[in-house]
Amino acid sequence: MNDSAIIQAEHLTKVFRDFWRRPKVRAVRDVSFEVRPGEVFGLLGPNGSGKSTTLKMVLGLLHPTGGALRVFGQSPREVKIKARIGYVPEESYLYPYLTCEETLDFYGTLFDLNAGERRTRKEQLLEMIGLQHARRRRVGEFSKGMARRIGLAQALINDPDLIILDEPTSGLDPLGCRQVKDLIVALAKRGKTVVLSSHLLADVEDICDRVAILYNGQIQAQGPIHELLEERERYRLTLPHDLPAEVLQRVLAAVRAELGAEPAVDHPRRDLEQFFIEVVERARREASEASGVGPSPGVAAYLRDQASPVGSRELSAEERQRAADETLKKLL
Amino acid sequence: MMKTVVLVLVVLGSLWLAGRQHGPLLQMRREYRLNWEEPLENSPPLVGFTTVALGGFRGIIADVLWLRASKLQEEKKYFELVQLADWITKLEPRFALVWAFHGWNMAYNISVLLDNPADRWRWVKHGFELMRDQGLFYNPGDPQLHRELGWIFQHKMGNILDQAHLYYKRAWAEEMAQLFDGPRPDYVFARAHPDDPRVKRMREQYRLDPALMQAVDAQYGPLDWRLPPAHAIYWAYRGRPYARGFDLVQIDRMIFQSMQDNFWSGRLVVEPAENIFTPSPNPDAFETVNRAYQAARAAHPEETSIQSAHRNFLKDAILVLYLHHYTRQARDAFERMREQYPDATSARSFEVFVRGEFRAQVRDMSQREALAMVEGLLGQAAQWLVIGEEDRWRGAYLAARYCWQEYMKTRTDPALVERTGLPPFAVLWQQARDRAAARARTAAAKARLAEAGEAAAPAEE
Amino acid sequence: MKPVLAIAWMAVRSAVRSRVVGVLLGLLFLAIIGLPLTVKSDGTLAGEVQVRLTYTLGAVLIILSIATWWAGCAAVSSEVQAKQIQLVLTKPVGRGAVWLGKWLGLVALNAALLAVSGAAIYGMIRWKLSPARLTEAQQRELREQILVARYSVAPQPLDVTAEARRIFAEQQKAGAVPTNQPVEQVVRAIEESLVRSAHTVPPGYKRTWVFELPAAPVGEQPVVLRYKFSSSEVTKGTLVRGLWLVGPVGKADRFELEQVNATDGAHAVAIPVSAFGGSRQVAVEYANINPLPIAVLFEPQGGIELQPYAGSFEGNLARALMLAWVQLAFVGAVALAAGTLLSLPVAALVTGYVLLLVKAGDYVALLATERGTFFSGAAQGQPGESALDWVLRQVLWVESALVQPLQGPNVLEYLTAGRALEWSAVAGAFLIKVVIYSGLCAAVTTFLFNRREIALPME
Repeated sequence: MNDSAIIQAEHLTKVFRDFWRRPKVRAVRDVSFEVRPGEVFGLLGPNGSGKSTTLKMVLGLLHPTGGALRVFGQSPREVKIKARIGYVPEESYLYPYLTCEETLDFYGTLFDLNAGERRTRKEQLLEMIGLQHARRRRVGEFSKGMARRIGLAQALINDPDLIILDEPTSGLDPLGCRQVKDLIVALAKRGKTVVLSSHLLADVEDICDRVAILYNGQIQAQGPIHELLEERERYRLTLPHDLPAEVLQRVLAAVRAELGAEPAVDHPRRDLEQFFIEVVERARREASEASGVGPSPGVAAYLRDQASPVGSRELSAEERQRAADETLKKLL
Repeated sequence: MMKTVVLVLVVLGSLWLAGRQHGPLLQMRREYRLNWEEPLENSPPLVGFTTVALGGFRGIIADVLWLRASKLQEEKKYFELVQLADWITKLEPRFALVWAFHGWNMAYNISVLLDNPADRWRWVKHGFELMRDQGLFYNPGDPQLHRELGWIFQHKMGNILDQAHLYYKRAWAEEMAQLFDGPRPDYVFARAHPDDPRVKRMREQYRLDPALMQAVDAQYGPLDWRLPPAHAIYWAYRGRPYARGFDLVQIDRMIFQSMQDNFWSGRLVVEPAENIFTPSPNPDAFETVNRAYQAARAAHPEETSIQSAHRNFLKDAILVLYLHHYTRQARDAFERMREQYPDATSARSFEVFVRGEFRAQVRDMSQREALAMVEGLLGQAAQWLVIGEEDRWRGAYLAARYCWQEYMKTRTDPALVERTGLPPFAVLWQQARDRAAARARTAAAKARLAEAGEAAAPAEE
Repeated sequence: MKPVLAIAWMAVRSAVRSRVVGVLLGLLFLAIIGLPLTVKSDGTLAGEVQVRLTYTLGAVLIILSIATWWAGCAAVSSEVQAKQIQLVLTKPVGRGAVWLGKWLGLVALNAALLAVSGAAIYGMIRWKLSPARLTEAQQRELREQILVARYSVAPQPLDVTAEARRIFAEQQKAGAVPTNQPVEQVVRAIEESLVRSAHTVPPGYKRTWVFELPAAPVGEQPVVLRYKFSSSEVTKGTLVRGLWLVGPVGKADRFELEQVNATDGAHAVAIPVSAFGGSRQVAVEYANINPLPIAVLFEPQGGIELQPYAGSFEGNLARALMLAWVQLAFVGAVALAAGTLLSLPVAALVTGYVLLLVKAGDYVALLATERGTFFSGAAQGQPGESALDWVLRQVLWVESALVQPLQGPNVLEYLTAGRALEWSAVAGAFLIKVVIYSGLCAAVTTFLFNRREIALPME
């Protein structure tokens, strides 16, 4: 086991039993993985694959039937380690009769934060999640999206080192999804460790460093995402649009001659989410009033590394250049 | 849509059909006595609600409350018992025995443990009011409840076993005095003016129906409705049409005994100015009782107990009639006794009989006892004189004089007369009048006493 | 401690915002104002006050007990069901702290509701007592009889042991002692007979009892002498004339009071403070001066007692409310323990069963001493006790040992009888019900709760 790992699971097993203690469901079978500090780790799989069960064992809400599980080097049931964990469940498990403010205040108190600190963080979180205008509304009156935001806020009130998100983007609109993903990236950049489970693969693809794919309680595949997704048996060449036509023809002819087949040529596509966001941002700039969730200034200050700009978790230009250099090196 | 409409129609039709069965089912339940629960009509909404809503739990709740009531009673904490009795009975309103028990419990068991007659009376009232005002409301045709109610009047209030009995009688008479003047209501007026406040109160508060009172009075009277025996007869009579078998026997027995009580003490002699309140014999009721005995004899000719009871009644009644100066009636009674029970007396005439009865009592008395008897009779005479009861004071006076004479007849030896004789009769009469005059409060009473000297003494008849 | 208080405050807020508190307040006021309009008393002024007090405070206690029962069972179980507890338990809050916070919330709510109800009941009593409604004499009568706090002092016990042994020795010498009875049993029977005899007053005789009061009576409030007796007359309720003489021990001064009382009834007379002559040691004599020869028999236990003034009704009511609050805290602890470990319906049933056991403590104690109650015929006179009965008796004995400490004074009985509920009783109840028993609940529940899996699929 890697001693520096935030979460270490070895041969983890969970069997649910009935009233008579007979095994009913083997939800998790012989699962081994680790989550390293500062990375975004994704647990993927279809419904019923054991993702949530695994997360609940990490949180100490369930007890493993077999195997070993350590969080911050200790048992997940240790109360002290909870001070470093933030948890965002899939559904809203908040108290419906509390207002936004009261919710954050309550959970802040559970972390033994003093009043001043709670107040500061509360303000910043409310601003971050765009619910200042609804601060005095009861959570029970919120829409699903609003409830998810406040759920996120309560998970971050203690500036946790480990954030666990169960289906963080389900039920959110594309803008919301984007914001959540940006937040996750920002947190990771600040050195936080994020573990998320999802079955919305497009969301996970953008932000996870490493993933484990579960099916039927077992890990079917795990590793860095770019390694898992890379199709090493093919190459893609991306050319700028102002390349002269005869240069393009010469390149195509060379490839045609080598392969003996016509290469596929088309324009690369942006993803729909990105396009959608650009359209909406433009409309917003043209001063259209959005109802519901207000514009967010981005991540709360206390969570953000001020020196780093807020950015996408997509590969930066340098990273892309570096990846291309490496590929060429292998070719040549 | 069509399917929904059809289903709704089917449901409604089924409900209607089921509802039509309700009446016949209830009828069958009554017929086969499967259970006694019939809908309570005209009951207060809360009672109706609880009897339905609580369903089978009523019995358990009633039991719990009853246990609490018993425990509190054992601990001599009575303040809650009226309310508990109210709840227990209302949880099982059709169970007449429960009403009877709690009414009896308050009237008998609780009242007797209190020192103050006023406190005792309060609990006796709680007892019979529970039965009368509510028990009979929910069970109007229950003969047992009628009888239990009558029993409180006959036994608790009418008898002399309770040391506070006189208080009960006085308090009841005061209440009745608010409803009518004299010994009975003006039945004609009452029937003609049902909305008269006193008549209305009689009906609504005391549940006394003037028409029924009149019928009872005619059949079993004359009754003094200020006294308990009248009410014992009233309630027994009211429950009689519903009684069968042994219940009927018991109700008849109660009526009969109350009729006798009415004769022996069913006339109220009351003089508030002199603070006199005395239930005394009611000679006018003699005929009613005698008729009842005759009817009982005719119905059960083989029953020797009825005959001996009748004979003893006649013997005692003759003396009472005589003492109250109902001489003619006494004489008639004597003749009838001789006719029906030749072995009742060996006396050949009425006078011989009366003297013989007194003589038998006086002859073996010591001086002290004889003096007490004579002084007692003279005291009674003076008392009747004070309130102007002419016949009665004469009767008592004559009886006293006769006793004095009979006793003195046995003292023939002058030495014996001196040693064990009684003072002169005139002296004893004067003393009795003086004592009564000392207690008398009004000038009229004192005047009557002063005028009743030896010269005014009644002559023997 | 901050998280515990936060959870407690959350529980209070939850009750207020879910309108539970509002509904409860409505029910309580309905009971306090509505019940006196409907209940019947025995027709006396004292009886009316007693009935009002009994039913209003009794209804308040029942309503709050049921509410505490339900709220306690639901406090954690409903959050487990709605999964809110998952968010809380993923915070650095121990499960014991969660339980404690919920319990404190319940306790705080009960304190507030009891205080409000108590104030309303007191207001109702004061309104009843106002000069506009009662004469001064009536008010004084109530303040002396009911709306007061009085100690109950029994006479000094008689030591008849030596005398009993002497009699036993004599009878043994005369051969009059049954040989098939244990000696101790015979001696005990002789002792009981001597005690009874000491409490019997034959016609024309008098008996004296000595009392040691907590303090010499002072002030205006008289001392109440309560007594009950039976007599040699078979008829219940026979009126008997007697003379009470009360005065300090060692002095000849006696306060005399002639009374005519019904046998088998409960009686009370007021003895003015001056009769005690500033002394704590008091001699109370009863002279049987009844014209007819009737012997009077006072019960050895509770047949005669002096009730000196201990304090005001207001203080007594406050202590009664505190005792009620302690009881509710215990109920809440049991309900919360059950609700933490079980689902709501099961928890409600289990809690109900436990509370029933506690309530039937005296009966359980009785059953534990009876041999052959259920399975064998020892009750029917057959010798021996079956193994099943023996096992059951041990179980009942353990149950009895557990629930007996929880039995305490019935606050309603004490209040309506004008008997003082002492601070020591309040402190004792607090120690036993809150510190020991509720603490035990907390410890056991925390231990088991720590082992409970919160996020099982069916939850």
